[in-house]
Amino acid sequence: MSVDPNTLAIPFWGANTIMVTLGCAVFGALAGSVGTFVLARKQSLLADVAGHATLPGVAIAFLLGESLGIGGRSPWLLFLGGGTTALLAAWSTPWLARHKRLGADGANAVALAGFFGLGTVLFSLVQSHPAGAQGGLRRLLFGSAAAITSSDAASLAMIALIALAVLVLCFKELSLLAFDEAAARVLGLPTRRLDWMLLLLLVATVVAGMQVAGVALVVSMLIAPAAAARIIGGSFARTVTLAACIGILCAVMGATASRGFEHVPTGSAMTIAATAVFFACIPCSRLFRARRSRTSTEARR
Amino acid sequence: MSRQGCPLELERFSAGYGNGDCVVRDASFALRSGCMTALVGPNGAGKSTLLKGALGLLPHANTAGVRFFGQPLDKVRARVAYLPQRADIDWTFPASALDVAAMGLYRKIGFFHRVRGKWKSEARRALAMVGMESLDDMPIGELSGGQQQRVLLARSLVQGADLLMLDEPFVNVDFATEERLGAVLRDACRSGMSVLAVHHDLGDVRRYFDDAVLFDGTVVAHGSIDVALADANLHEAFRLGPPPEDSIA
Repeated sequence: MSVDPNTLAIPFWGANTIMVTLGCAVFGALAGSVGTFVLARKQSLLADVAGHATLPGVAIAFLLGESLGIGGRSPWLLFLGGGTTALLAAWSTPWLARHKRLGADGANAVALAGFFGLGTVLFSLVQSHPAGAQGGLRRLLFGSAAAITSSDAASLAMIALIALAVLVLCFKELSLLAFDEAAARVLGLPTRRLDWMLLLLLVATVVAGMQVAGVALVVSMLIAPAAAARIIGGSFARTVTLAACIGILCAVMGATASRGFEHVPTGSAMTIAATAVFFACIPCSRLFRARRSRTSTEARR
Repeated sequence: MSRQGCPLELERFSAGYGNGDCVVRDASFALRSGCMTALVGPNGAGKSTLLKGALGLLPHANTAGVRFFGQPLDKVRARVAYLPQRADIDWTFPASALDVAAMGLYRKIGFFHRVRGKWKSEARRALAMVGMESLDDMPIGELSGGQQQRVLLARSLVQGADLLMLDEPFVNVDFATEERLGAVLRDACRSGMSVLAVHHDLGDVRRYFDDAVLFDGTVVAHGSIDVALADANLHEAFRLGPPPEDSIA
């Protein structure tokens, strides 16, 4: 693996690179914060299913765009295609678990394998299409920040910002849903709609991240920053904020590393960064816990 | 007691989990206002199912005969609070004691509004009522079982409800915590709140409760403690065979 000093300098100077890095940062913030809710709702594997399920949708959108003559590489078309199949997977997996006596574990495995299998078959069709090989869609598997354009980055940032705004507006209702659904229902909160909203936020995160983190690894950006923030502890708002900050850090690190090191997929670099931060947080959590314990002992005196 | 003021009235209420078995069958009783009522019965009698079913938490419950303050639950949700079993809660959830207590205020605060200082002060007052004011910033996962139960009670109290429905509030808490929770609930009843609590310990039911509903899939007896928990009723509910003749006399 060779390091090109010229490309290492690019992230800090090129307008396109700055735009892409900003897009990655907004995605990281969204992934960290949504991931905290997903982890609390025990939907980590569902996030993985949704990530893998974007693949057939993207392939169908590309083929449809090309056959209609509107261009298959349009970011909004790919987001729409990937989002539709991810939403279908995120909705059908819990349904399978409930109604077919599979349990969440079996339903996740069936849905992940089914959607990803379909995706790989459709991708072989995309690759055999004249425009398919040049479209760079193969990079969607593990992500490539270097391959995305300013317009891609602006589109993903827009999705991420809208999703973040929804999350902030419904923060407390979603937090009660995640903590104690029964209490939320007795209080009269619209739990079914909130559950759907969380699914849509999950899908929006997956769709926003599929180009930079890749469909196979986007789940790591949802869960690892949230898990790292969770072991540090504190209030829920603090945990979500910390997860968002860790998400930004890992997304920017991943994007920068994949630009500096040839052939390193951005998703893999982000995953390694997020996993490293998670393990670094384990000793930190002991320090925070000891400090809290001292504070509470003093308060009780 | 007027029926309009009756905190909870069940008439031929049934509930189950949708597998064909009806866990609660034809349950009928009406709670006295301003009283602490214990819902007691053998393990697996359906006490928690009754509570959850009446609150609309089960998909297979016939709630047509359930009235809270003379009305369907949807019209009086602000007047009813629920405290689930401690085991039903994920205590690894990343939240502080203050976060959890403030959750009881979410309906009052309304959608799209943040939990601002005024609401936090109210939640802190509720935590102080259960003796948890010094631990408001502590993650709930680092609290003891008794402290966690007190935080849940603070969440229910801060709601300002007129009826509090609790599922096993005294389970796995030490004696001091049990006494404290009992005293807080007694005070709440004195100020007009009504309490219905699933309780498993027949030995100390008299210490905290005014009334009891003896339950075994359906209502075996209901009334004051002495009436509801008479030997004959206990023998029937716990299937102990007929009571000794002198106790019937």
